[in-house]
Order: sequence, then C-alpha cells, then structure tokens
Amino acid sequence: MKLRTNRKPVVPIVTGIPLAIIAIFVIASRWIVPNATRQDIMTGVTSPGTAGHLFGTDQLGRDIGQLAIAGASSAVVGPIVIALGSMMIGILLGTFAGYMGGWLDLLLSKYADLLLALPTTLVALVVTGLVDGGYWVTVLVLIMLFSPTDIRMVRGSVIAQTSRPYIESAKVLGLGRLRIMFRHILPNVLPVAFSTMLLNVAFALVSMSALSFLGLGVGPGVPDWGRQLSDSRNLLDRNWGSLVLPAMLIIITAAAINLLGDWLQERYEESSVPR
Amino acid sequence: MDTAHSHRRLTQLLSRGALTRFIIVRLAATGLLLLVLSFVVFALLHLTPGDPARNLVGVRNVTPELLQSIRDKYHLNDPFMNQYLHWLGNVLHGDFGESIRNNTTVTTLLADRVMLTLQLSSLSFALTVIVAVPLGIAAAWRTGSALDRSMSAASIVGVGAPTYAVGLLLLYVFGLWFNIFPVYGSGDGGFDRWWHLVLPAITLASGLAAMVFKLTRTAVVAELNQDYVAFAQSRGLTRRQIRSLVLRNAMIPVATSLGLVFAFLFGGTILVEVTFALQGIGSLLAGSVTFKDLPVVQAITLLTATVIALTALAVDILYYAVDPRVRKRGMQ
Amino acid sequence: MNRGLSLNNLVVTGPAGLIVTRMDLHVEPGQTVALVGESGSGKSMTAKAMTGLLPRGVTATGSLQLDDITVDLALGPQALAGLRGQYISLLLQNPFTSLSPVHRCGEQITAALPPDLRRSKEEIRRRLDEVDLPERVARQYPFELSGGMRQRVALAASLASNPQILIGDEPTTALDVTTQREMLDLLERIQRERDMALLLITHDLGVARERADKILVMYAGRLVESGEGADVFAHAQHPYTAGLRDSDPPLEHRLVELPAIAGSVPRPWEVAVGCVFAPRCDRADDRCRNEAPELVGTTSQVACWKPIALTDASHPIQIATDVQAQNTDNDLVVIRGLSKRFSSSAPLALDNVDISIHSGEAVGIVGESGSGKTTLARCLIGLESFDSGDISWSINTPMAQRAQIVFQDPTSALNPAMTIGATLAEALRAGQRSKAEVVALLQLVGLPSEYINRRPNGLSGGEQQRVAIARAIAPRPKLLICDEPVSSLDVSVQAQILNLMNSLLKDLGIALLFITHDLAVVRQVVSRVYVMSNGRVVESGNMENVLQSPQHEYTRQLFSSVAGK
Repeated sequence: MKLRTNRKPVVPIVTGIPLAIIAIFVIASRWIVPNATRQDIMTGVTSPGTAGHLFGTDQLGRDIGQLAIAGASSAVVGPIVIALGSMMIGILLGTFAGYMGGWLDLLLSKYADLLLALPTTLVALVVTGLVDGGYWVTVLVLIMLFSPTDIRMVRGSVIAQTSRPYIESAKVLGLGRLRIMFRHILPNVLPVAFSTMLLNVAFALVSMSALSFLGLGVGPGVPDWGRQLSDSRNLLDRNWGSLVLPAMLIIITAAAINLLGDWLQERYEESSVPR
Repeated sequence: MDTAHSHRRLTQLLSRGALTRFIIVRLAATGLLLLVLSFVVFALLHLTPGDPARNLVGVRNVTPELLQSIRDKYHLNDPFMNQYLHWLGNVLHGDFGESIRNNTTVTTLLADRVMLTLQLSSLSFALTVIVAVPLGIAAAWRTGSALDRSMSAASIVGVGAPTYAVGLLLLYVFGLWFNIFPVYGSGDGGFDRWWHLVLPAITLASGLAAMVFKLTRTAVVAELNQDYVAFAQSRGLTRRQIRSLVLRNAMIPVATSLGLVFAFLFGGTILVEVTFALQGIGSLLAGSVTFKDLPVVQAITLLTATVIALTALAVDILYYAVDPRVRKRGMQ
Repeated sequence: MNRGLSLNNLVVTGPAGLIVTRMDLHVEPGQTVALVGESGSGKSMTAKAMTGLLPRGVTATGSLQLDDITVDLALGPQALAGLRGQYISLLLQNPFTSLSPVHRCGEQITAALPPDLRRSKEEIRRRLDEVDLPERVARQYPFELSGGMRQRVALAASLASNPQILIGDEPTTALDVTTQREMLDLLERIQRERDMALLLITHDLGVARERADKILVMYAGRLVESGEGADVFAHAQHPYTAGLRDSDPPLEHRLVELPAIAGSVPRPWEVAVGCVFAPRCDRADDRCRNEAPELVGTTSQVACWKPIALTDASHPIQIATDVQAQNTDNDLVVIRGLSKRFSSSAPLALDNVDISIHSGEAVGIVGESGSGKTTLARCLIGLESFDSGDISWSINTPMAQRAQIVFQDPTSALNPAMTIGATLAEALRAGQRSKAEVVALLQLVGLPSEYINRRPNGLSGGEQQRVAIARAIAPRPKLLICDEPVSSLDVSVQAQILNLMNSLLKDLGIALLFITHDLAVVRQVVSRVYVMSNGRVVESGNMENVLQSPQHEYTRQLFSSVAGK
C-alpha cells in the first residue's frame, strides 16, 4: 500500500544550484579567468579583500578566487572519468560474474577481497607515488581501485535479478545469455548503478584532492583545490581565504553530489518496493 | 536431571569445538590473504620504475661497489622467488631492511612512531563510537524529528567532507583564531601528547562518525520496521524492553561495520598526520612514498594489512558470539 | 465485569485518503468473530487501529470499549498502550518474522510477565504446555523451530498477559494445510479454556465458515455485510458476499465455469460516491452508483440498496462431469525414477519420482511446502538439474516449444523495464511465430490491445498473471506448467484466472501440469492428480477417485485438513 504523498523535489534544487555553478566553472574557466595562474611576486601574500582580490592572494601573488575557479576542472573532470570508467568495468565484469558465475566470478571476488584488505587512500598513495605518474595515471589507478566495489555492487544486483521469475521465464523461452544479461537484467540494474556512480564521483573527488594535497597527481603549476589547500598551510596566519575557499568548495561539491546520489537511491528503492 | 545436565555439557563442548574449528578456518584464510599481500608488497620493489638496486641506493652516491653490496644484501641477483622467500623470512623475524632516507633499520623507525598513530587511532575510534552510535540510535528512534533531520544532513556533509579540509578548518578556528589547541606537532609525551592529539582526533572522527551514524541509524530503522517490534508492542512490552530487543538485533550489523570503519581509520590517519605535522606512521608513509623509501613503504603497507586482517578476524569471531544463527551455520 | 469488546465508528485515514470507513464491531467473551475480505479491504488496518500499531502517516478516529474502559482512538496509539497485552493482544501472520531472531523462545514468551515471574521455570513450562510445546523449546532460538512451532511460541507470547481478546491477523495463512488445522484447533481450545474473545482476520472463507460464530465481510474499506456464522455465506444478501462465496472453488465437484466477479478490488480512497461495489455489481442501478448505502438490519446486517432476498433465484451452478483420464498410448512426456538432492546433508528433494503426462491432458501435483513439487517442475522445464532418472519427450521440437511455465508471484513475473508488447513479441519470436500475433494473444487472455504499450507496474496482480500466461502460451508449447499460479491472487480474481486456464486448454489443446497446495483449486482444472510428500509420489490417479477414496494415509490427512469444505 502506498502511504507516501508527493513531496516537493527539494533535494535536486538545493544540490542543483551549486553543481550547476561548478559545471560552469569547469566548462568556461578559460574565458572567465584567463589569467588565473599569472604570478605577481611583487604583491605576494595578501589577505582577503585586498585591492580587488576578494579572497586575497597566495605567496606567488595569484588570486585565490581566480585560482579556485580555474581549479574546478581538475577537481571534477578526473573524478567523473574515474566514476564512469570504474562503473563501466563494474557493469561489464559484474554482469558476467553475476550471471555466469564460475571461475570469472571467483577470480573477481578474490581480486576485490585483496584490494579491500587495504584502505583506498593508502593504496592510491603508494601506487601513484611510486609510479610517478601525472594526473591521468592517477585517474587510471583510482579506476582500478574503485572498480572492485562497483563489480561487487553490480554482481549483487544481477544475482538478485537472476532468481526472479521473469529471468527464469526468459531462460525457459530459450533466449541467449547475452540477450538475457543485457536486454533483461541490465536495464533493471542501471538505476542503482547510476546513483552509485554519483556517490563514486564525490568519493573520487575527495580521493583525488587528497592525493594532490599530499603532493601527488597534479603538476606543480596546475590550479587545483587540493594543491591550494596544501599551499594554504603556510599562509594560514596571513590569508585565511586561501584555506576557506578551496576547503568549502570541496566540501560543498562533495556534499551536493552525495546528497543527490542518496536521494536518487532512496527514490529508486521506494519505487521498486512491490505494491 | 542427570541426563539433562550431561546433555547440556555435551552441547557446550560441541559448540566450543565448533568455535575452535571456526577460528582455525578463519585464521587460515587470514594467513593466506596476508601471504598473497606480502607477495604483492614485495613485488613493489620490482614494479617501481628503474633499477631496484638504484632505487634502494636513494640519494647516496652511486658507486659500482655500493650497488653490488646492495644487490648482495637484498639477493637481487637471485631468482625472483628466492628473493621473495629471503625477504619474507626476514620480515617474519621483524626485519624489513634499512630505511633509505634515514640511516636506521625500518624496525626502529617504526617503533619510534607507531605509538602516536595508535594513540591517535584509538582516541578517534573511541570518539566516533561514543558520539555516533548513541546519536544514530536516537535519530532512528525518532525518525523525521528535528534531531534526525539535522543529524542526517550533517552526516551527508561529514561523509563527503575530506579529512584534510576539515582538519585545516578546525586548525584555523581553534588553533589560530581562538588559540585553544596547539597547532602543530606531537607534544612532549604524557598529557601534552594527548592535548596535541585532540584536534587531529576530532578531525579524523568527524568523517568516521558520519559514517557510523548512518550505519547505526539504518540498522536500527531496519529493525524497528520488523514484525517482531509490532508484535512486542501489541502484547504490551514496555518501551525499555522493546528497546533492548531492537538494540540486541541492531548491534549485530553495527558491530560488524565498526570493523570496516577501522580499515578506513588508517587511510585517514595519513592525511591527518600530514595536516597536523604529527610524527606517526601515516606521515612517515607519505614522506617515504615521495622519497621512494621502499623498505619503509613495504613495512607500513604490510603492517596495516595485518592490523586490518586481524580486526576483520576479531569481528567475525564477535559475530559468531552474538548471532545464534551464525553459530548454527558454523556448526553444520 | 467482562462484556467483551466494542469498536465504534472506526475511520482510518492514510495520506491518499480513507482506508476504513465507519466500521463497527462487537466481540463477546468466548465468541469468535471473523473479519473476512480480500487484499485492500481494510481488515488488517482495522486490527492495527485496534492495537495502536498503525503505520506512520495513518490515523484513526472512533472509540474502543473494553469492560468499563472507553478509549478514544483519535488520541493516538499511546491511548491504547495500557490496554495492550492485558486486555487486547495481536497474533501476526508470519511466524518467521514476528519473533526476534536472536532471543531465546522462553525469554520472548515471558517478556510480558511481571519481572518476578519471567525467570520462573514453572511458569515457562506451564505456558509452553498450554500451546502443546515441549519444555526444551524455552532454550531454543526461533530459527531452530518449524513454522508451526514458531507460531505456537508466538501464540504463547501473545497470551502471556492473559488478554480478554486476541486478534489473529491471518494467523494460519503462512502455514501448511495440515499445520493450519492443528493451529486452528489449538486456538479454539485455548479460547474455550480461557473464555477469551477471538477476532479472526482472514481471507480464507473456509476458515471463517468453519470457525466463526459471527462473520463480517469487508470490501474496499467498508463493512458490507455481517451475520451469524455460516449463514452469512449460505444466505448472502450482499451481491459481493454472494460473488465471493461463488467464486471460491468447491472441493466436492467440478464446475463448468467458476462464477467470477469481473474486475478487481478498488482502492478504498478511489471510490468517490455511491456503493463501493457498484462498478463490479451486475445488479447495480443509478441509485447504487450515486448514493452510498448504510448498514441496516438486526441479527444480520447488509449495506446494499438491492440485497438478494432468500426467494431470489440463485445462479444455476453447472456441475461438470469429471473428465476421465485417457489411456496411456499418447504420452507427451514420461518421467522415470527422477531423484535429486540439493546438498549431501539435506534429505532427498526428489525421491524416485515417476510421472507421465499425455498430450492435451490436465494433470495436477498436490503437496505441501517441501514436498518436492516445485523442484519437479523446475527439473522438467530445465531450470534445475537432477541426479538420476530420465525425462523423455515424445516430440522433438526445441525446448521452448515443448513446455513453458507460469510462476506464483505475478509482480516479479514480468520484466519491469519492458512493455507488455515487447515481452510478448519476444516470446512469440522464441517460438518462431509472427510478432503480429501480439494483439490476438492479448485478446486470448482477455486483455485489451491498448496494453501493448503499458508496463507491468501499472497492472493489477490478476492482469500481470494474464500477461504471464500469454507469454507462456506464445511459442505454442505442447505443455504448460503452472506453479501455484493463483495462490497470490484474491479469491475473486483467482476464479477469473482458473476460468481462463480452462478455456485456453480447450481452445489450444495443450497439456497442463498444475502444481498447487490447494485441493479445491486443482479440482477445478485437472483430470488426473499426483499427491507428493517429502519428495515422493505417495498417491496418483483420477482426480475424482483420489478424492472419494484416498488410499494413502497422507492423502487422507491432507483432505481432512481442508477447512470448511
């Protein structure tokens, strides 16, 4: 029995506004702040509000606000690629493992066990640090680290669908395995996969900026929120803006994506409850 | 009476035997996992770009003699499996080799730092459990209340908020602005040490507490929706009785996930130790990675894996102890 | 003084609207009152309102009277808190979820007792003894007990504070037929010993007819008829009660066609004006559609503008002659010595089973849960492997054109991501038939052609099951296997589906294997039957012969357990 009344979609509005602004920064930062990385050693560190610098400047005299706008793309693009990539691996391998079982399933679950035996941060730090790769190598490493949980998630949902009568009916009709997997099972797994992917974007954003906070992932001159935070440790007494702006941007972006993902997941769970 | 007594003794013995068997099987699985991990960790030496011997020399002057002595010492000219077995043999005796950066053995280096990380971890774990579990229960008990809504919202922010950003903000507000807590460093032992750890521990606990809050709330809400709660209400059990019924059931998933939280704890300590410039295992790892101090990296990775694996084992045994259904399955 | 319980003018409102409208009921001490209705009738919500257990967002008004106490239900669940246990207690349907899995049974039974009695061995023994359970159960966990034993533990727990009235919300529905009877007997004995009032909420007309002193019939949130015991059905005044009675399949004979009620039960809040039953009633006129009738009468009450009078000619019921089993010269499929074990420690799921099905014949398999009937069907259709024995088909077509299957649960029978049209087109293609037949297929199962573009979520359970049947017959298989196809459906819809199956069998000339726990249902469809128990076929033969002179002890036990027939 359905007992819920329709509520107003508060969550998409509340999360949509900040996410839309960030999206504009990512797409158009080269036009909005073309000179974000211009250094001005003469100015040096200034506190917020100084001469046209709303959030002040860092020790190289770069405007904190402009730098943060320019840093949006390195903060967001990598995580989106990570979430997409790992979910693609998750869907492909998870569907096969869940539906076919056998050695592939065993191998994948052992692989996941191994990776989950250590904290993601630690493995990411060790691998990217030792390999000495740049931004995209870090992205690749994080895809590999994120995929086991996605594989597990998809595998679990596929197994839950497989025992349902409609899949058994499809088997009895003699339909091919690929058709059952990708025409029958997959469309019913995609909604969960999508909300999981959103949550992964937030998690990847935090992980990526954590690595650049530790000095890995992004090159020295590239604008990046994690890097800005790392730099701000030496400026705390002179410019609080260098800390507060990138910190708030990371927190708000991650929280907005998480909130949206949670909301989608709840909505999906509610609609899939049998009447 | 006599037969009833001996019957009970028999079942006790049986279940004790089952527990032993359960622990042995799980120990074997843990050992196997660690063995495989140790292999991967050892392989790091060869997976790192460049000549392993040169990597082990570090910034010292590279002379053919030095390279040769390193090769001899680490058996780098032996077949790969032999190298690994040598290394593993040493590791099992507590010998991880020598640090490249500091001219000491890895073991002494770790011994100096492990205490701080342990103190930081236990303080934030305790904070997490003390704050998040009761709040999660309270929020679940009054779903939809102001407490529940505000705490749920806070937990979404907390789960997503990066540890280092929260840490720096706290540092700025309480350390620099209000000047209550020390800003950097590990303190001089005793109370001063703990005082220095307050901000880092709160930082670390904030993310974890958000996670534990969510887990606890979900677990309790799931139990509250069970038929047995309605049935308990309908036959007139008191609120207290119902609460104890629900909590006993809900604590099973919560206790299990606390084990998972422990694994996250160490990932977090790396960032917190770097943020607050604490001399612990985490900051050592971060420094060693950038310096390519492989023996130290290997040691810390393996140590962490061991701690996490043992925690998982402890959780499994706890699970076995509190859930009669698992006991039954274990016996069959 | 104990004067029983009265519920006056109960109204239950949910977020979507009214769930129960103006409901009165009265139960005397020692009396059994049955509240009968299909899903969505509001009978469970009535029980929940009486115990203050309404879900979030659902509220009740009205009053509850017990002895000298009157409780205003509008004050919320807390107003009832003091009454629960000692005055009024509730026994739930599912014994697998109504007890805490991690607490011992003894502890749960005595939890409601005063603290000093909770640990008393004597007290626990007495309580267990009352529900015919041995003392060892006190130390066991619920998962170590069978469904029937768990429900006895739950009963003992609900009686702990010696309530004056026990509400049983489908207390035997989740149990097997034979266990069901034992449980009902136990309830009756305890009620007599304690002079307790019993409010039995059930969808099972047989149970109500056999056990109740008074029966109330609910439909779409309203009380439509009430009266003394079996009279309510025998002399039904409300067309719905009569329809419900007629569509409940009889065990004694096979009908040419079950008198089904067209359509399905509406949601209570969707009925705006007029009589709730008017849209499905063939007696309805303008007044029925515009004005809601009140409940009138003294000993028997009815809410109907045009009640059926005793003198009214009842529908002539046509009794069909049972089809005689044909001779064995045209076997479609023969199963010989089939055995299967799921794990080495489990007992045999199938133990040397021999079964044959002739072309165009309807065969039934009857058994309780765990009898192996479903496993047999799954082996036959190739969804499960077997350890030994063989299945030999007399035809050489691809599997899809040999046999198809319809499952129990209609809500998960169809892919929620596909339209009905796409589902059926795919099934047609699997049988090398043309996609153009989709509309004809829909017509065959009695659905309008607009349903091609609908998705399963928008359909009622009965409609979903019709689509599942259409999909199964699409490749034109020689054998249709139905595994409990009507057990999740309401009685009135069940009759529609059974009629549909009978007409399909006649029109298409295909064979049917009908698997069920319900003897009366299988009686309406098949000519030959196998009775299974613990993986073995214990009896087989002509449906009529088996019914009239069951040979095996288990078959006799099964037949005697059927309530009210």
